[in-house]
Amino acid sequence: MTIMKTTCILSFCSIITVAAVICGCASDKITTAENPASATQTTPAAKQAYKNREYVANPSKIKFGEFDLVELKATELPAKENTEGNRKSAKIIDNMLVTALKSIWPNLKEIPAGAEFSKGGERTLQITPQIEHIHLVSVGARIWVGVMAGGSDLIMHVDYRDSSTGEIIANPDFWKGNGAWSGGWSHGATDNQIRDAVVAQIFSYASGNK
Amino acid sequence: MSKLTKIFFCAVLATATIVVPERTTGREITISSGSVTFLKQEKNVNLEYDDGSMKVGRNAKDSVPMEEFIAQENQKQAGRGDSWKLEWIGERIIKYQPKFQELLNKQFAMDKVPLEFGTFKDAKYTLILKTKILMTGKPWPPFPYPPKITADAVFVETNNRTNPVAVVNLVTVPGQGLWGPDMSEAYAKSGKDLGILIHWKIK
Repeated sequence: MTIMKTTCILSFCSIITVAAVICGCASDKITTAENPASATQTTPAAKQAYKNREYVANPSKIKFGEFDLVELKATELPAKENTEGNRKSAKIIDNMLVTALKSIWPNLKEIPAGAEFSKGGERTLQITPQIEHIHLVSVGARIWVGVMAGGSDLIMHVDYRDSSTGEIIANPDFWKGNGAWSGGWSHGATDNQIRDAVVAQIFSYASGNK
Repeated sequence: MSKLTKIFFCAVLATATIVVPERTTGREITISSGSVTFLKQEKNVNLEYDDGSMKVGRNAKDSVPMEEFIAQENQKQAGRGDSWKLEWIGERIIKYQPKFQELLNKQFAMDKVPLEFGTFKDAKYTLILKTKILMTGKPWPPFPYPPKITADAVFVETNNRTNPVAVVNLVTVPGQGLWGPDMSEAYAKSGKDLGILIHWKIK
């Protein structure tokens, strides 16, 4: 009986401690008039979810059809997300982009990562795709932790530059993401479709502005 | 019946209740007017796509014209509808249409029937795939369902498009791949179904 009592008390204490630690970690620092010492500590602004942000794809200043030569640089990754898996994703995106954009510009020239655009005198449309944020949940993670692996997001920014003036004539943003439930329930199928969807948006933008 | 067997049957029943409605649909294909037997004499048929009068919605009941759907999505969140439109146009050209054509032609190539659908501007007949309803589906529980399309395959004479020679209805074709929902599968299945039907009629 004594052992049971002790176990109950210990369990209760541990629950209270864990709850206190969690609440302590999650609580915001609140500015109060009574506590001038903490007056400078403000509540940090809540980070807006990617799906709630606005992604702008304004029309290009110059129609892409005016360019005879087009060069496409390999997709760049942000330094903090430059992992093995993300590099693979960037490679897949590059392959899909080349295939899609070659249907619009058959003489599209590919520029490898780290290389510069060609310095020829002819007017060229220089396309620089960049991944701003990537988080793609793998099929393995979906199988093991399912919904708890969270959602996937891919944000890409593409610069279209006129080589003759050096001016950026269009710089649209493209986003695609999915919810944790949709990813979990489809066993990762909707996660894998995110790259295709963003490439489709880039292709559609390019053909629409030609 | 032992307790373990009962639990096993309950688990199977529960899984079937969740999985079966996801996989089964009211998919059907019918020739609503004319006949496709004229394709016996043809070698090439021009293939075109039309989604000018397409309706979009999560299911057939709440589908609205595409422009209205885009406006609705933009109202929910700025730019969401425009982004959807960009994606739809791109995926339609990159994925959906090539899959439809590939699966359609495959049905004839397998049996070495000399009939091919593609970009043949000089062909006597043209097949226009008119997507009427695009159902985006719902991939999350408790009752998920795949994306589907309802389309009309309209055969016309290339030089006289006013009177269709034959019309085939493709109703609620599901976009359900092996691993999950995929709209391109709806187009692939449409091509396959249409190919099988034509092959069967001209045999």
